[in-house]
Amino acid sequence: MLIPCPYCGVRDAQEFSYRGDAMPVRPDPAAPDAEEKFHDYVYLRDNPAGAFKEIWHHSAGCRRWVEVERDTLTHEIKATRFSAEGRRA
Amino acid sequence: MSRLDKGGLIDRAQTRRFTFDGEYFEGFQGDTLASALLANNVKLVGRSFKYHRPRGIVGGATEEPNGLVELRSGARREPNTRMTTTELYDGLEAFSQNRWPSLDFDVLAINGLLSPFFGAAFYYKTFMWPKAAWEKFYEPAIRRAAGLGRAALEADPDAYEKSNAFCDVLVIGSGPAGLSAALAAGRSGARVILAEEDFEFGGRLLSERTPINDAAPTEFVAKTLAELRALPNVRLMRRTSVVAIYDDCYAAVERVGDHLRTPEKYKPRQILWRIAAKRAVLAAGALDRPIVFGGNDRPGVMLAAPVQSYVNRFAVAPAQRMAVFANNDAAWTTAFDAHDSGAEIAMLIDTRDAVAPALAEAAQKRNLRVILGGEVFATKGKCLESIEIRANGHTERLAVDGLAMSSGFSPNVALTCHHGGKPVWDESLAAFVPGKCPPGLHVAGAAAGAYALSDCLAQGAAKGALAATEAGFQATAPDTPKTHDTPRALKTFWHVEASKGMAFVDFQNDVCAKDIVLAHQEGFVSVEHLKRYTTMGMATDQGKLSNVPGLAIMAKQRGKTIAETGTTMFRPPWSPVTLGAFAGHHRGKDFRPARLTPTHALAEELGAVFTEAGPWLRAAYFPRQGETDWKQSVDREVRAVRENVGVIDVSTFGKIELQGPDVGKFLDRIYINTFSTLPVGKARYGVMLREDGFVMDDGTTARLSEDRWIMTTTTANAAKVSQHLDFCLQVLWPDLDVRAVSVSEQWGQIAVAGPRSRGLIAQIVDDPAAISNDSLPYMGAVETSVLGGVKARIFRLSFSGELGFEIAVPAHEAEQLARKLLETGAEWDVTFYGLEALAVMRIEKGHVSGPELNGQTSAADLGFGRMASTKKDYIGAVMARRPALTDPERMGFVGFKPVNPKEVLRAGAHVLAQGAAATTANDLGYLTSATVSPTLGGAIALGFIKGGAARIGEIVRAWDGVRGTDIPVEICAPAFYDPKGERLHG
Amino acid sequence: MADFLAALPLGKPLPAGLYGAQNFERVALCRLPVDACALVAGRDVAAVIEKAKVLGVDLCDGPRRSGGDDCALIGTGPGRWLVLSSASGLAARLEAAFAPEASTFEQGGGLVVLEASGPTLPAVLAKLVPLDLATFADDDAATVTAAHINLTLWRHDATHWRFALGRSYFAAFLRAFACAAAEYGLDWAG
Repeated sequence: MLIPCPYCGVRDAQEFSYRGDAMPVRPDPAAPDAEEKFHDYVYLRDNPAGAFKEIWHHSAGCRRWVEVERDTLTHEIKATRFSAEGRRA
Repeated sequence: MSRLDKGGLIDRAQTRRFTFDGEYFEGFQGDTLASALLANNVKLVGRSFKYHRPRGIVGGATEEPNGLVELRSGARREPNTRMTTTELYDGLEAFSQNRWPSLDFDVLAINGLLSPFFGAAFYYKTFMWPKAAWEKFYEPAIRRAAGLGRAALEADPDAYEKSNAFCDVLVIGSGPAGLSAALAAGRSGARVILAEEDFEFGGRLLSERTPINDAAPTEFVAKTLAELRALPNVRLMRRTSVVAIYDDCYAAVERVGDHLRTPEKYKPRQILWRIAAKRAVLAAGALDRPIVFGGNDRPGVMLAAPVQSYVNRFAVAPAQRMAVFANNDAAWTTAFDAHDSGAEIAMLIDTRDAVAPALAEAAQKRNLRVILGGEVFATKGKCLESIEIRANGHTERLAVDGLAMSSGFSPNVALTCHHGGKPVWDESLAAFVPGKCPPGLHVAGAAAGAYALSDCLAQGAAKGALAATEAGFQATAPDTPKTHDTPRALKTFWHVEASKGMAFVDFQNDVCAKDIVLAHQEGFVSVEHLKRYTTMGMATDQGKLSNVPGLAIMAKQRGKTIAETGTTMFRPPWSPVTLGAFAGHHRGKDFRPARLTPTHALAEELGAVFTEAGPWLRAAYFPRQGETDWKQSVDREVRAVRENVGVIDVSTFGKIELQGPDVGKFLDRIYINTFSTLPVGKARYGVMLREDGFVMDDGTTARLSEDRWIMTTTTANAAKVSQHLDFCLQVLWPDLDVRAVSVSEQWGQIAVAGPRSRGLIAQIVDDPAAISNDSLPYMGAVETSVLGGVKARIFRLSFSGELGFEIAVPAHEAEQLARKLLETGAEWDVTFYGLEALAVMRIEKGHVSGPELNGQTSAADLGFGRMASTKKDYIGAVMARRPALTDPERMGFVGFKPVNPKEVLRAGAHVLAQGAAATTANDLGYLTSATVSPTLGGAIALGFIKGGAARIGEIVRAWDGVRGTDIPVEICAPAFYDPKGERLHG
Repeated sequence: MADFLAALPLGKPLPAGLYGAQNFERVALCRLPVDACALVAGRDVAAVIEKAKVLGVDLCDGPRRSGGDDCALIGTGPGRWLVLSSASGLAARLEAAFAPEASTFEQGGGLVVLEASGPTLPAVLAKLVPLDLATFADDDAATVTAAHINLTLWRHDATHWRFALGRSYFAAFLRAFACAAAEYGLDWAG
């Protein structure tokens, strides 16, 4: 599988390390239900068959965390962006 | 000799000598081993897998199920090599397989007589009782009897490589469709790769006679190749099988040296190509299929299309007197070509009641005896001697030594299925044609079910142009050359049910029609179950011949159509791939790149014994003359550090330099303890957690200036921590201005430890005052210089527990530094020590390391509970507060020593209470690290026990079920040596 | 494995010499004596690009080599460059030019820079690097792995390619490179 890295260009997936679902956001540790929120953040992951936003670390390239919109059934990649930017968007 | 007097694409001027089972033969350049053996009248080439029945060559290419040999000898012996794809070379040695004592007389052929008992799943059903006998007796006996060739026992002496190729259009196959596709795409300027599995380009054009543009088809091949060769954007790769389609890339194996006795010097035997192609055209052709009838596996019974190849391409008549048995027109062309070449065609048997008048005329013109509505129901002879034919209520026995059979063609759709696409049944072709293809893949010609030559040429050109256009080029399909089409009509026919003798579906796995009937009776009706129950479609040919006839028989049993029953999944690879090709350069000591420390050469000079620590080669210990085992060396090294001074290269630690205004804030969020308050010139030990609350790594981080920090990680976790920091900085807190860079390679780090370490370092540091106890107290860090101007960072740290310093210099200066320490320290008997001594000393000190940071331990478990700040958030802080992680009954970090000091402890032992049975329920903990301490004079160990430090003083047992020991041990504090750390301050 | 590697211990870098086939088309490899630093921008990358003009560099924030007075900056990641120079005092020069908008990290002791050339070099590189190097223009760069070894490479000019890699991997890289080059021949200058 090829992943278009926003910095390096199209690269083989072997150069990337997979982390998974891009959507979980680190909860506020001061919140009263922080423990429950962190439990969900650490352990609960969507694993959809189809469109998915996930993050990959380009560990053998530019070392950027990249958010990848991928269809898990076809491996078609719709878009990629630097991870922090995706989160702000 | 069965070699025809003329014709063929062999070079009769170049004789090739070879041996088969030790017997000497000759063939020509351009032969395969199969064609050369047939030319020499060798029909019996192997014994079948289960019944040890005599077998001969059936096919002409990668589909061959019977003609498997051990090729070459010694370290290059390669089992199960298909003789139909083996290019003949001078000196070739081949050996038949699965026979004893000889191919001609094989003792286990008795299995054939016992065949009524050897049905599907025979082994599963028969050898069930008694259970214990399976491993001891049945399995080894069955394994000896079954199995095909033998692999070489020595290491493969040849080189294999992997390589990458990029193109706009990959064309797979170089028959009429492939050549046209390559030409159409190549003329547009697109980068084209044309991959051909065979050693000659041309595909079926090499085996057929239909003229193209009024000339022999081989002329069309030559002309097209000449044009392609002249295009700089086209790369022609023969002997190259495209074996798999993965996401966005194709895998191909190029057999660079398989056609030579040994590969050329410095050339690999094979290259595994990863081809990134924007588009591809699959023009892989189609394969002829057998008819299932009694005795259809007799040597001499072959597929019709390969017979045509042997006649036309190799100028070989595979038999003296042949018959043809088919359900389609194409097989008639085989008969005509063979007849026209001078071979005797004794009879043409077609299952159809009528054929096109033109076809009948062509046969009549040649005076061929034609039987319509007929079937072959039995055969005789060890090698074929006669066949029995039934037609119109009569039977006849006909003496022939060859039979060409065909139930029609199967397009080679396998590659179209590698993304999960299912082929679609086409009743008019009686074949599966491509269904949903992998993205970017077009199929042309016979692979798409378009068998007619004009269709192949036209489709290839159209798909080639389409592929190039999609890849961004302006391409038009070239004009289709003038040709005419041979008839291709067919009427579905699979199985002569009223047969005499075993009727084989899968030759390679000895699966008969009756096995499929049995599988149906026993409920294994799904095609995937059928495959596994009968083994139909397994092994090197992967059902290329057997799949469709087998499915047809099963479909009939179920009263369904083949379209309804479907086919098994086609998975990579299309044809067998040598494991060496997957490994490429990465085998033996090059399995993975070895990392060397900056002082590696010096350590070698000093006679170090090296050990692999992850990718690193590290000095384990430095034996001296007179020392007879490693422990003597290690004990000496430990004593030297404890009593005098020792030197070790610790460059393998991960080192990450952090700069920027927010580093302190960032480190507070990374470590459980506080770093923002760390003064310049100081280092602090830190523990970092994963977000789930378990310990990720530990190490020291020093503040070199206001906004320049240097973090160390363990050797093993250097990459993981670096990735973690990237995540935190880029994803979690992009607002922090922290610039982090791995400087692991930049700094060579030498630890000098022992009571006399300061004195030694004073000799090499440019300003000795910089390392005095006042300017560099314990956990101090200073930037200074050594060896007359070499920039250095000196840290007052100690893993060994002695007064210690770590000196970091640019890595290219580290060897010079180590040599200077050796030279200067000679008068003090300075000792270079290795990883083993370091490990002993850290266990003596109770420092945690890899075995304790095992991903299951919390900071509290390791005794760092009080280090954890409660005033700030940090990664893992919230989850570390979970009840299960703060349970006082959790396993905590302690030391162990045997009650009898002479006993030796081993890591991995479990801890049990005295008298408790060795059950999981009674498991109290485990030993993680153990050694025999030269300092303390006995065994010591670190580990974890339920309740932790509260149990110090209790006597328990270290039970090791693997090594069979059960040793009473006392729980103690983990710091065995200098627990107050007084020696650090020396 | 090429036979000349079978006898070479992993701990010994390949000595200078001719290896593999004795062809005119062989690949030449040599080591370049240069100093190196990593330059990492803070949040204001534009300011860093502006400041680079002091060094005579039209700095590109991408996988490219930007040449300047006595130095070259090769993009390794967003706002990150590997800076090479054969002049002395590189770290101090960078510190002076870029602080505080960017930070300088010394790397000269830990990096090995190699230069390769020769008519068969593209075929050798194809075995090592999974990139379509035929599409690279002069000064195009990539950070990638070759034979499981991390490195930054760039096309120096029409015939020369350069690689920067960690010195702990130097011996292993030479093995992989020599193996890939063996069929064409390798002239390793050391």
